[in-house]
Amino acid sequence: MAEAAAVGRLDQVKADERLTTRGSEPSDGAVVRAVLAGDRQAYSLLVQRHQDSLYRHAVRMTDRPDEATDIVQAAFIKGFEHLARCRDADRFGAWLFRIGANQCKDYLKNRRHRDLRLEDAAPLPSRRGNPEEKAERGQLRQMIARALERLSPDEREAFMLKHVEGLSYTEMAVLLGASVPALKMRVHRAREGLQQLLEEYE
Amino acid sequence: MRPELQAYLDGELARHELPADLRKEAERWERLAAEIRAAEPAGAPPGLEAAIGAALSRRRSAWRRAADWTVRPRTVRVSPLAGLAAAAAVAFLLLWSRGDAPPPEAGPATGPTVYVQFVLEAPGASSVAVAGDFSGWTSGWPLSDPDGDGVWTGRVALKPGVHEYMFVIDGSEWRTDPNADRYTDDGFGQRNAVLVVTEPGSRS
Repeated sequence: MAEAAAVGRLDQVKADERLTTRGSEPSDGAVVRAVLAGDRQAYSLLVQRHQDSLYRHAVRMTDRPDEATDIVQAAFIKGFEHLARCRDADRFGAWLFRIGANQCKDYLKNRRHRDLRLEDAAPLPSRRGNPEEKAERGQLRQMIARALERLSPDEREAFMLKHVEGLSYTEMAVLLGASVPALKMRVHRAREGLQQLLEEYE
Repeated sequence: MRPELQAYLDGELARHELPADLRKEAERWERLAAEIRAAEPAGAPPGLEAAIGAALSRRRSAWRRAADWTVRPRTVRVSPLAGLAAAAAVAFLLLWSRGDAPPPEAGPATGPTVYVQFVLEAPGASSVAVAGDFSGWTSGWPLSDPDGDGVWTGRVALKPGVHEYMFVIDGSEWRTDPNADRYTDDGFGQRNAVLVVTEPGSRS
């Protein structure tokens, strides 16, 4: 399962290179130009190619598959409406990733406020099981989730791209439009923030 | 954190250059990344592509209706005040069509939305989704169970009105919500749960 997820991990950054060598399939740039020329259906090809990696990133950032689904959908809609502003059509994947990544960070910034509102809208009784019934794995995941929640959205993003996605600082700089030293600083801060978790983690 | 460890994790130091007492700590970081990776989905949920396509075609038809309205010749009698409002609306349309105005808020539904929390106890399931008239019945909104206690939850933005839904376990088994207030026959030998969503602020 972990192996399967690890394959194609660099989709976002390396997508352009792979697409141009795919043989008969059109490159992202060609698809973007077709959509802009009026073939709006062709946009679904871009969705197919980039939804998985953006969705994984959104899940890593929010820990909420339902929110991640909404974010990915909103990012593709925004991408469609602003497609003419994608200057380098061959790098559509990176451009869209940045739209989605920003939406993830906006979500994290508003999370507290939103959850409050949503709880008010749907007052369901909590039916959570008691702690001793919870599996050890569940506890570990919860611990990781809580530690990640304490990071700033920028730190969390940088940590995920560096450690979980396995990108280099140069690749991250291209993807996010930030400088290498700034990204290094974010990753270092994220590690400091997660240090305590790791000490409890055996 | 020791600078040598930061440098190693940044890829600036080889493993053999790392002091022996830091190697164990380095391994813990690798295990943490592996743990996060193991918990995450391999890809987007089925139906997301269709949902994006549907949302885009809704927008397209709204745009087309607006375009028809501006292009088609028709006789309209307006009061001066309404004329001003119409001029403002046309100005807005033109702005929007230039493509640099901010798009309307994106989301699965337009108009007022109410976030509804779905909850299903399904221990042992590896995925749970909620599907209904609001998802076209062909796909579902995934619920999540981050703490692994078998209680799956998820919020879905719904328009006010009467909705029918069911849960889908592991992508194959349809299950009726045992905790719904109302049910209706689904025509396939099972019952759909019925949910009445009222407008925010109104009383049910």
